[in-house]
Amino acid sequence: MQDANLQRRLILDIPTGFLLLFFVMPLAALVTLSFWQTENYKIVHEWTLMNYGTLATERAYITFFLRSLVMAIGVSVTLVALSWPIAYFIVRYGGRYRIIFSLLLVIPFLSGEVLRLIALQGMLGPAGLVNGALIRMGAAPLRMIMYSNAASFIAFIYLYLPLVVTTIYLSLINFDFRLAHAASACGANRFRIFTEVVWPLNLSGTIVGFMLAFIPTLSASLVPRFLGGPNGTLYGMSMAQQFGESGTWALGAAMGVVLFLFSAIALAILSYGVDLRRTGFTGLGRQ
Amino acid sequence: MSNTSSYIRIDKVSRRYGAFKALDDVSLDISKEEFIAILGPSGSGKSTLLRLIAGLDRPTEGRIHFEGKDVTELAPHKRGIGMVFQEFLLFPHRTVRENLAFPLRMRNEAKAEIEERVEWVAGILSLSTMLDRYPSQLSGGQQQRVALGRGLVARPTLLLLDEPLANLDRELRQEMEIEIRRYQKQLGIPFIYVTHNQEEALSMSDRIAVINNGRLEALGERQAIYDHPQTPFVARFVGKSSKFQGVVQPDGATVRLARHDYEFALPPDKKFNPGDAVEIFVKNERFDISSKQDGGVGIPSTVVDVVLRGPFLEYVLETDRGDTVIAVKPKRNDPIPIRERVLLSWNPADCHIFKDGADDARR
Amino acid sequence: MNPNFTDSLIKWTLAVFLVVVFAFLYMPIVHILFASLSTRPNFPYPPEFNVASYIRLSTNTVYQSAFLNSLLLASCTAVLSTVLGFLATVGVLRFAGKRALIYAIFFAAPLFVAEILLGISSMALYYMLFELQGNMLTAIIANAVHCFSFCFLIMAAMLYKYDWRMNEAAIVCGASPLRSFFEVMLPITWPGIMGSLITAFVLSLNGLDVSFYLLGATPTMPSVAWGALRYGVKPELYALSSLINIVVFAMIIALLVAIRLKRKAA
Repeated sequence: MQDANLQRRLILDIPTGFLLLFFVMPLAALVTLSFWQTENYKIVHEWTLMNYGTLATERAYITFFLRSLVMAIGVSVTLVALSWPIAYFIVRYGGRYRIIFSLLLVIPFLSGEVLRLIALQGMLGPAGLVNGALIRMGAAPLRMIMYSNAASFIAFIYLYLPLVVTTIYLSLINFDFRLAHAASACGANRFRIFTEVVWPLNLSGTIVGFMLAFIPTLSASLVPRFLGGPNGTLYGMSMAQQFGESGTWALGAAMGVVLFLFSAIALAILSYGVDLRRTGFTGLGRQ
Repeated sequence: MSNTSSYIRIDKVSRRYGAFKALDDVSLDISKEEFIAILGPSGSGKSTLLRLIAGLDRPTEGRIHFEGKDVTELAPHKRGIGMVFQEFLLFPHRTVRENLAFPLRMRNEAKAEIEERVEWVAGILSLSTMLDRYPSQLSGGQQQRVALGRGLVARPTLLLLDEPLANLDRELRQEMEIEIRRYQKQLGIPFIYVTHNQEEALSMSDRIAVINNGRLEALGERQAIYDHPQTPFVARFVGKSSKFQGVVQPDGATVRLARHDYEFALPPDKKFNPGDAVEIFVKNERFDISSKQDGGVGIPSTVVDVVLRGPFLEYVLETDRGDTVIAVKPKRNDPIPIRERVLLSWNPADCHIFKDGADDARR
Repeated sequence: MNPNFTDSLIKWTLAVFLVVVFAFLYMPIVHILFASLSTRPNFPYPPEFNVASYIRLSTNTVYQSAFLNSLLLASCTAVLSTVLGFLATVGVLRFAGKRALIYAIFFAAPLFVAEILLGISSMALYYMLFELQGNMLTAIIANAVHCFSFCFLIMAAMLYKYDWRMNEAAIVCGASPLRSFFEVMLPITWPGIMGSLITAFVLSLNGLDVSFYLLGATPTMPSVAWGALRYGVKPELYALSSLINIVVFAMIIALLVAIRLKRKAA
């Protein structure tokens, strides 16, 4: 009895403690720092709301933020729209090659953001495959895909597509397609089967996929820096600069808090009104 | 049963989960060479009792002894038991041979001994031809036999069986019932068999322990449990029966049904006060059906349907008050036709009578 | 319209779409593989087979030390996050009872916080508490936080289908709890555990955001690559990227083949 309780506590408490120490604590530190000041690359322990004031009033930061928000929403919506047919095809028609298809999707995701951006640059850059081919054919290079928000957009799609497809795939593969047959037997046509049975029962998986693309896009710093060009600065990139070149840590921390809050708000909005029982969620506890 | 002859002794054992009593003060003595069934509805605590005996769970109160030794605190893997699970739980990554050898390897037996024991158990369970297959390549009945073999191979002190036949189809189940009972007689170790299926309990065991709401409701020879249930719960749960409400008449010697125009004499061994409300249970095969024209007494009813069940006929009767009663009779070439008016009665010695609310009074 | 015709129309439309998407995902990778093997990296068609950039990569001492650092970081992170993820999975599935969902959400939470925020906030914490600039240990821990959620989810998906009474079956056969873990649970669930190890390894090998803020001057593969990027893409970077892709590919194939072989044996 005694050691069974102890064992149970250790098994749950070790990972919980780990997250509290190294996940929750740092976030708390970030929040604290955002209410302090940095002067001449030194942190001044004086409570102030100035950082948030700066963020709320300075036009550049507002622009960066709105640009990030629009970009993140656009990227996530596009990704969900692209991922559904892919995941659906693999689950429905993949047969015994399902696992191969899904792994082929995961592999590019595993080689890391920097290296994947390098590869993408090889495609999209001024001397890349696309423009190289255009020039060889005698056409003018496409300016749109070089150092612009469009280039960033393509990069985000490229980076997070595997993640979103995999999430929706995992949702669909656990979906019992006999329910679709049952709906069909009840007289529903293809469209209604999708809107009334398949989509709602995979909504929670879709939301997770959406969030997994939304959050890193909202906070992205590498992509805009590398591909965004002069008018492509995003919030996360600006935040990274506060911690790097400008040395204004406290302001950067405030930007971090803003990003975190908006991610949390997005998650809350999407989860709100989603009744887990109506989205095919079956719970986790199996005693 | 005297203390000396008890091989397994379960002494006032309780198991609480918070405020919930899964098992409440259960005592049970089991002798060597005995086949005992623990019978109860789901959630009654019968599986908890089995897990306590196995050591997979610890009692909150009470002790458990094997061969006079207190094993209450002993870890399950040191108890030297065998166990067969409802889902078989064969190791999917091991062949049949490896599954059978597993308990022997865990006991660090010599290689030659392991081989010999595996051959022996495969022999008695007719598994010799499939030793190199994997569990997924076996039928349900074969998996069942491997599970049984794995439980028996290492000469366990006792074998615990947790609804082992629940996942098999009916025909196979009846076959296995006979086999399992034969192995028990052959090996001479106690089998403790948990089931919610009273037919299994009746067909296999020597004694039956009926568990309900965590309490030991009845314990006895299977015939006695069936023919002379001591509580309304046992009367309802063991065998198939119909229940009637009745009132003891002023003379104290007859019972009159509450909803039907039928009276019968109280058996002499039953003592009730005049005016007592009673519950009467009649086993379905104990009903007498007589034709209305013959006269006589009984509950006036109509035959609604006749169901053929192998050597038996099941008459579905509707009483004139609208209750449905099922009566089982041996098959005849001229069954009573549907819509026939009949009278339903029984021999007073064959029914079980309890004071109304006796079940509740015991709590 | 004939429903069979509509069905196959949907099917083939989706198939074509899938091919386009795969092309989109793989073209850059294949392109830089050619570029790394060519003397004309900008437009390496027709392909050549020239390993000069690989030789330059292997003799570059910066990449060498970065490689070793990354290897150390990734291995430690993989083991740490898999062990923690395993505990979390067992805890949630077995011991959390009614609070399973709360724990599961908490354990998956790092997934919903951008990597860069993890890096920056950890840096802020260490700086505020210890005036510490960050070192290998802090980088491993912060990476492990990020990978932990992936490990938890991967193993939870695997262990969700595992029948825990299999352990009990082993124990009543006389196996000690430790032995039942090694003889029964591990052989049945190893694909999930391997998947978790590989995922954590690869994620932390390639992650820039966390290490960038916590490792200071210690070079890792992604940070060196990132540094080199600012001065224009060089064929060595293509070679590095291709190498990593090939290694990842090989690891996945090996895992797949191993699973197949096991299954065939079973």
